[in-house]
Amino acid sequence: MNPRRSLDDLNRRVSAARADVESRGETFYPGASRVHLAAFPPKERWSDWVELDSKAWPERVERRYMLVPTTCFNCESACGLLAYVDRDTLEVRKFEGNPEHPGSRGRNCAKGPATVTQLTDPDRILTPLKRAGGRGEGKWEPVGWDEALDDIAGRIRAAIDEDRHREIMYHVGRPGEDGFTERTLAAWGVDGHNSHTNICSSGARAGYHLWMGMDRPSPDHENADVILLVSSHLEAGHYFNPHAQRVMEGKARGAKLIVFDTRLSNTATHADHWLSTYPGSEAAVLLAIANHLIRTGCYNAGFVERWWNWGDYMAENHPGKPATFEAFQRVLHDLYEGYTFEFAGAESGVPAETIEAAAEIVAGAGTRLSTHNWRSAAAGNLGGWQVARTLFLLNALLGAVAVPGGTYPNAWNKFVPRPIRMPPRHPESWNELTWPADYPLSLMEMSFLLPHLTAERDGRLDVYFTRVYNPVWTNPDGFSWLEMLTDPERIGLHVALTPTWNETAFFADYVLPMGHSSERHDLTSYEQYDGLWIGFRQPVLRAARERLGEKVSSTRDVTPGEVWEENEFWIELTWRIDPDGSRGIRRFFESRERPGEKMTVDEYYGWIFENSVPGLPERAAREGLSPLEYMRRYGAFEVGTAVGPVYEQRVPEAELEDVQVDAAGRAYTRAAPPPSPNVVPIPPLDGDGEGRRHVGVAVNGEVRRGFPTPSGRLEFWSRTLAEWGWPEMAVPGYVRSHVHRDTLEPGQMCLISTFRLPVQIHTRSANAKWLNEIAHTNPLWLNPGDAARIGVGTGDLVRVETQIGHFVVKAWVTEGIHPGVVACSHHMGRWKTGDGPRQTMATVSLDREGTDWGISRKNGTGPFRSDDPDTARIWWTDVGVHQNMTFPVQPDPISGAHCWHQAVRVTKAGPGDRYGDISVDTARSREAFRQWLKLTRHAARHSPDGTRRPWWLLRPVRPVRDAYRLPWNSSEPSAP
Amino acid sequence: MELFRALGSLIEVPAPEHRRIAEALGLPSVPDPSVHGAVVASQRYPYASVYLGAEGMMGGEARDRIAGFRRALGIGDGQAGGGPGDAAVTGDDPGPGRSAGVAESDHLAALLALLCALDRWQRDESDPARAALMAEARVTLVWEHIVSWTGPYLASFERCGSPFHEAWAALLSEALARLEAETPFPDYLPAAFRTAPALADPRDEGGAAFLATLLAPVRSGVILLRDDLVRLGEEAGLACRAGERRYVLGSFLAQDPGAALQWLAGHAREWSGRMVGRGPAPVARWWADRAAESAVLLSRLADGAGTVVSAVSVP
Ligand code: SF4
Repeated sequence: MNPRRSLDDLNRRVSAARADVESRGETFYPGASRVHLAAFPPKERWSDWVELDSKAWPERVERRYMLVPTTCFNCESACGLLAYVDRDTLEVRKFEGNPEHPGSRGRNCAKGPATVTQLTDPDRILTPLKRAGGRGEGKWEPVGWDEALDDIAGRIRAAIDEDRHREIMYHVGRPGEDGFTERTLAAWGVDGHNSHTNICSSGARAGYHLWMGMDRPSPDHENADVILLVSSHLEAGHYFNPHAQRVMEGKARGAKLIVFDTRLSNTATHADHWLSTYPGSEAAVLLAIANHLIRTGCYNAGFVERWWNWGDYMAENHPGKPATFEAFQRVLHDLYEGYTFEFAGAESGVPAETIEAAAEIVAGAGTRLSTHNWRSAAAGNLGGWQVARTLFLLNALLGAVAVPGGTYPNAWNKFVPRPIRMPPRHPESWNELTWPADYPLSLMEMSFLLPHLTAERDGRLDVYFTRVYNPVWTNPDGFSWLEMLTDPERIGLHVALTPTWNETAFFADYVLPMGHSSERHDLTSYEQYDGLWIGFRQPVLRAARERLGEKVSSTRDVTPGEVWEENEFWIELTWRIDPDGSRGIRRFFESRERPGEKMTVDEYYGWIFENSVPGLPERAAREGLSPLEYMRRYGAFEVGTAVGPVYEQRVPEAELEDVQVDAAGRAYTRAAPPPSPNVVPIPPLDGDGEGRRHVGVAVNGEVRRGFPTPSGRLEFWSRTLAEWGWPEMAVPGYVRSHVHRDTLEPGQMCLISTFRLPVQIHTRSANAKWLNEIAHTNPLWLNPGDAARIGVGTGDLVRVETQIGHFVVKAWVTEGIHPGVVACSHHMGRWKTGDGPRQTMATVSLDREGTDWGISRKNGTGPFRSDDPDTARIWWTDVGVHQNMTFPVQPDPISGAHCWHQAVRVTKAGPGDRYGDISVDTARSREAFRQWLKLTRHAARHSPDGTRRPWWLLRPVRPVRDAYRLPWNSSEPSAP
Repeated sequence: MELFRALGSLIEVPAPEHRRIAEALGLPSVPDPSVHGAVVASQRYPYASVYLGAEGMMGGEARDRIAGFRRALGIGDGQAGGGPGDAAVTGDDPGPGRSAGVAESDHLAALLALLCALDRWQRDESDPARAALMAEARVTLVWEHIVSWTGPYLASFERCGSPFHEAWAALLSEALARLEAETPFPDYLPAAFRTAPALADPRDEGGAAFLATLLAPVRSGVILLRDDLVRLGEEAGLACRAGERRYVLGSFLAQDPGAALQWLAGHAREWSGRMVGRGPAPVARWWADRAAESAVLLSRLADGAGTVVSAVSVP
């Protein structure tokens, strides 16, 4: 045989075999099994996958699985998971990543696979419970779902019938879904949505919103040349796993990584340039970089001229100067020239040369600069929203906006499919408890002020839902929450919807068990790269049984105990609120196919996938599946990629009818907007007052989409801020934080409390044994110099005094923290007074005398016997300290975000101090609330148009426009 | 070139997909994963760094060199971690400058997939200058990172007891020989050879260095499998203790240094002979010379065995 011929022949044969297999949509080459953690079973074998049982080792025991996708519920990244459902026992044995998920691409952080430990937690709640003693006494009795639902529905019905809509409130942590519950509240006509956002991301989001009309960044790290993070994003940020993998890919391609982080976090250790900024100085450093770009002419003048609202700025602020771009450039130069590297160095403690080196790198990024700030500095400081605003200023200067390697606005990288029924109703009343007129520009609800507002303004809630949320533990000033929750005058009925016990649920009237991530239905879509995707969270045992030919009409048939699937819970509750449909509420949850009957989740999602997700029906048909079957099979779908700079898009002729362009270039049309299947929230912009709607901006004679801001452009200058009482804050600037060195009293230090432990997730992971074994305590980071001054070493007890009380914690002496700053993770420190989860909660005594509250630890955790033999192997006792209890509320007067950083005194613990002690005087909490309230500029005095809030700002469950009118006339003596 | 990609994929953990690939190539049926474990995963590690790195272990400078090569091509450098979307692993790279990294860029499957991808990019490239660059990169890949170690590596599969792996190694050797004949190689040795010193003399560098370099093929010129050590024990009448290779070797030297060193010298001599004709002539010659050099040192040491054993610390 001629060897040449034979090798050629083999080459041809293998090529042909590959082409043949792939033409059938199957996999020819197996996944890269040698790559650690990246061996994915090919999808055509998901129905029957065989693996050896690792627990049976050394015996070879084969297990047959059905792999069913769902979505992780442990953080907002919504990564794809694949549940390994044992075909013989129909139990979920483990979770791995879903390679079909475009955001997470098969990868997860530790918290994803740990979902299985949450499902099997011996302490999870499996039965609806009703309080049997006083609130917080820990006495419970089982209650039937019917009784609980009728009771709750009856109260809500009465409140609606008696026009007490504002007494109904739903308080959510991370929603983990795109709008289902908001639409439920809209259907009820209730302005009762309350979210945790103002203790989380709203500072940064306010900064982004003011720039571009959309409130989240979507950085394209993968294609960036320079990645600038103001956060510990690689281990703990939002969209942490999807973003972290792209940051690392960008780095692998040669991108430079710059990290601002006071701590030497895991992220900082991966940086090319780590800037350990003094807390609150970040905006000063960013402005020094901006100044460098401006001074050296290293910015994209063409982009700035085309897309910034510099014309408005010049007209309003420099009417005496020529309205030319050149004049603006000179003004811009003068505006920031004071932000020298030396100034930024003095503010931040970072050497001026280091800042200069970082500035040089940014200057070389061109349009490939991806930046991100989420919580971190924006969540810690007074004026934190300016951190995001000054960070995005760098993108805006370089034109690194919605282009490859730049930062996109979220709404262009997010797809929220239009649901089967979209309640057109808007609540008719305004909820002053969540949206007080003291904070007209707050990005989200002033959720953490609820105890103070209910106390000081006679607020009452008749039905208060906490949904997978634990404000007593997560929010600052938890003792004020306890005072509110135990006061029947303020809280009529508290319903905790939760899969597991938490400090808030202990004080509820009903505790209703909801499903974990593989027991729920939700739709998700998040901005994680320049593309659009949807992820489907589903009860995996339902999907598995259906694949085996069973008909499952209620998810409750497959959930453990009496756990309810949450969508089905809201549908059922809504029907009981409006049993005969006379209130016009029930119709939003009625079947279209079977009028007069309840909508099922199959119909709800089936309709969405069939009608609102472009490309999905065709993709499903190629595999012979219905769109719903496709999503139940694969769990995610990519709607599109490479969205690009939407602002540059020409508005099509069909949308241009009788167009008018005003002096600022905004274009208005009479043509109706084309129907869109994507209902992602976008600010509503006012028309021209003559019946035309805002459609874009005219640039060089052509109408382009522009940005959803009042000017249609990127708002370097915010007319909104200027007109609502904050003209001095209207351009990106530097606000000295409440923990600025000059503000601290002698002996005070700044405490950073905003960082996460990478494997924990607030209260959600409390029952995940694997995670708890890895991380279960939160010592106080202390620089060696400070430790020597205080006279403590690692492991010694220290007392940390805040404005309202103190806590006692262990010290961890490390060079990894800026001198003069201490840090303590807000994860850990869980507690209970009686029965409750046993893995991570200390048992404490909770004491009160008037406004003096205290917690002292009786014992930590330890081994215990349960169905799970691992619980007998718990080797740790320390579960950390609950520091948030000792923090007063510190709302930023503009963004409304809680400013987490604390001015504290750290001393060596005294003889009477014991680990875990917490002490607070809530009278001082109230004083702190009033002190911060004085910083606000009330709408009654500063609203330019007699409304409570600028109409264009985003807002969940937006009330009717009339409800925006202030009830006070600012000239009246009774006006606030 | 698809042939290389297909052959590369067959050295990964057996998956059902391998059956079709093996069939197309006319190879014997794919064995059970446990055979793969015994023959490949625990003995014949398919990573260039093991054979070209001065430490004889995965990673290190040898892998960094490949990562640097990938970076220079504008594709992921292998440090970021790979995944299913990782086209460089699968050989479906969209093109230079577009793809992400692979976690283990020096794995034989990744190298052969990259060879296949480079070939395609070169053919698809319309700019002649860039196409020439691709061609040059292909030569470098083959010379520096593939044929520099596949000669001894594939030789180690002879008589390995798995018909599938024996046939696979023979076919890949044949395909590489054909590639070598068509490739204009440079007239200098691969960088890994130029920087690797020879087997450490325990009298100068101590026993630990001696044992470590004995297990680093680029230092000793020899591949010492676990199976070889079992044979050493049987043939020299020594007890083979359970443990990692270095530990086993140390225990042989403690039991009877003269016999152990004699056996090793013979093994190195035999290995030197087996290298003839394995790969491009300068490469094959280099491996043969290095093994012969080791054989000389080992026999010398065998003659004065007492001094050696005192230098080798045996637990
Ligand atoms: S980042 Fe981790 S916790 Fe968050 S969704 Fe992904 S896997 Fe779950």
